[in-house]
Amino acid sequence: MKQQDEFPGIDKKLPYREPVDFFEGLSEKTLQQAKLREQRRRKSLVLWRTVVVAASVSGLALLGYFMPEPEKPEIQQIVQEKLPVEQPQIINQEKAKQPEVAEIPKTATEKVPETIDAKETAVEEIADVLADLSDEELLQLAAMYKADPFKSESEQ
Amino acid sequence: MNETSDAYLFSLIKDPASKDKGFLQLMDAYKRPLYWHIRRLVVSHEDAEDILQETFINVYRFADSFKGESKVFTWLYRIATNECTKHFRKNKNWLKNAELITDQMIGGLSGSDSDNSEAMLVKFQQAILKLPEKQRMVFNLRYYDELSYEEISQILDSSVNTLKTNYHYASEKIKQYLIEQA
Repeated sequence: MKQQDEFPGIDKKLPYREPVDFFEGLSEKTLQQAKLREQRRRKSLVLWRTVVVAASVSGLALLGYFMPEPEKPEIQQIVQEKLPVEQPQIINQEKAKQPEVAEIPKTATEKVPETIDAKETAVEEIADVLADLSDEELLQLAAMYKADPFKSESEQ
Repeated sequence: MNETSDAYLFSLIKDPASKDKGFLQLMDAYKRPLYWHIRRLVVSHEDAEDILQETFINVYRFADSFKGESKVFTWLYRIATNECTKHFRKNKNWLKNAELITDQMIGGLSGSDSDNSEAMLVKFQQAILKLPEKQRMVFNLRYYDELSYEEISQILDSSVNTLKTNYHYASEKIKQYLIEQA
């Protein structure tokens, strides 16, 4: 071999020795180790999966707790944005329309009921007074009416 | 081990019913060459034993992912070499420990002729340990395991030309070291 020529006088053997019977039972021992490692790996894999699932569930729960209704603020904002614009328009429109509708009836209707009401209340008051009077008082009142010196001739 | 028997072993390993049987046969076939490949790189027997076990545990776990695109032994060497690289990264003092082992070996030898040849082997190993990591790997795979550059290329994921250069520099450095130590 070319390599042997490169280093004449040096064998390819090593100065190291393996312990006696080192290779005996090594294969079986390694197989047991390999199986044990595989079992541990599977167990830790199951454990990790459980931890990951639990962490994701609790993460989602926390997320849900801290952000309960993410759309609400947007709706409020929209309402806040729209209300100041639309509401004054409606109010202004109402205000603009109200005088046209309300002013006309006020002049036509409001004054008439006032006079009727005054007469009605006066009649009611006289009737109430007369109702409260006794028969004697009524007779006296009638006598006073007949003997009224300021009464005109046409009325008598 | 030929490719037909490798393919048969992997057909056993990929079947859950015969996985353990196939694994034991594969390990019996490759544990010695892989142990010595690892031992040459890490020197310490304890480290080599741990890395060998770790290599075969990985083989057991990832056997299903072996598609048969490369030879079984290059796949196994690749896993073992990666485990050695991990070991070098994790244990920064591994080289000091390895040099200590070789120093102790030389110190334990007496002055007979057989001990002289043994001392030469240890010095040769010391020279290899002085090499940079990549050159050490290439030299070991080429010199001891007698793999072709194409096979080493599959193991170390490098181009053939780079490997040839690495081997050339490694052998020159070893010669220089042996001359200095003589």
